[in-house]
Amino acid sequence: MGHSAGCHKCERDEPLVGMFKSLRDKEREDRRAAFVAEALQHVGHLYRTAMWLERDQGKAEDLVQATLVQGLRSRHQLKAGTRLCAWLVLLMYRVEGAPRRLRNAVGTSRISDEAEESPAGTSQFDPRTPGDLAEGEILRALKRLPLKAQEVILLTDVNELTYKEIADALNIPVRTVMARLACARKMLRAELTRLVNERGGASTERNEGTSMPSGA
Amino acid sequence: MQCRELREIACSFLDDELLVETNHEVINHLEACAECRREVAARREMRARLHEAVVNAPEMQMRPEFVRHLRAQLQAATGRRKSFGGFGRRKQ
Repeated sequence: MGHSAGCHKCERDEPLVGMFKSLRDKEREDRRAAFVAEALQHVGHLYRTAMWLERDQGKAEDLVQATLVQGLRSRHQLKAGTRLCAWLVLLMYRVEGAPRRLRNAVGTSRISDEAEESPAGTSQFDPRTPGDLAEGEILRALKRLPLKAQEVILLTDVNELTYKEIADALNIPVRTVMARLACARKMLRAELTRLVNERGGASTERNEGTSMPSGA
Repeated sequence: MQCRELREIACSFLDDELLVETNHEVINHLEACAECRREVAARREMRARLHEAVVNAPEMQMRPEFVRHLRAQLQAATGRRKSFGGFGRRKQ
């Protein structure tokens, strides 16, 4: 019930309550600042992923900003032992404004149809890794792959996520991540071989047992 | 372990995603097989080059203004919860 004004007990305790509240608020602010500082260390990973998939600087920036703001608001959901970078990537796939093709990719258990139908999906297809690769050639080869193949390669080799972390972000089984990666990497090696051959440069690759995709 | 089998799991080996026993089998095979060692080394090198290629690509560089703006946004974003307004002493 109502407390009469001038209660000595409350007047005595008020400074303590205020001090406690200040300490708690400061602790909360410190935790928030620590989260922001750590999250900003991963902004490069997020930006590269967003930029690769959006191919538009403005949209990529918007997506990264939305992801980090959401991360700040939802940081209490970050479980102990979860890497912040992986959690932020997962958030990026879920946040409001994520591009539709990312959302459509979530829950999809098959690599794109053309990849599965290609020899890359068969156990007979095992191109060797060509040597003497230029960075430009590697990027060109990567961009020739189906988007979902590019995506898994980007998430492992550039963002260095584990198979489990990628599975969580894309909402697919770990086994599917492994199969998609194996397929994607074979296709990448085949594309690199094609580029090297087109270049006509000296390659130390041996072609024994190598079969090229049809239409190469 | 045969060479073909190793090449199938070489990427998982490089991803550090194999079971311990399988890892040992891979390592034992690589110690004995120069051809597979060359292939695994080539894949490791390619992945490192891929990483650098993407990270260094001009289109992957963030604008300094964007980073500044982002930092300011995060620091200004409200995440404060409502004040408790006391600690349970008001109610009788």
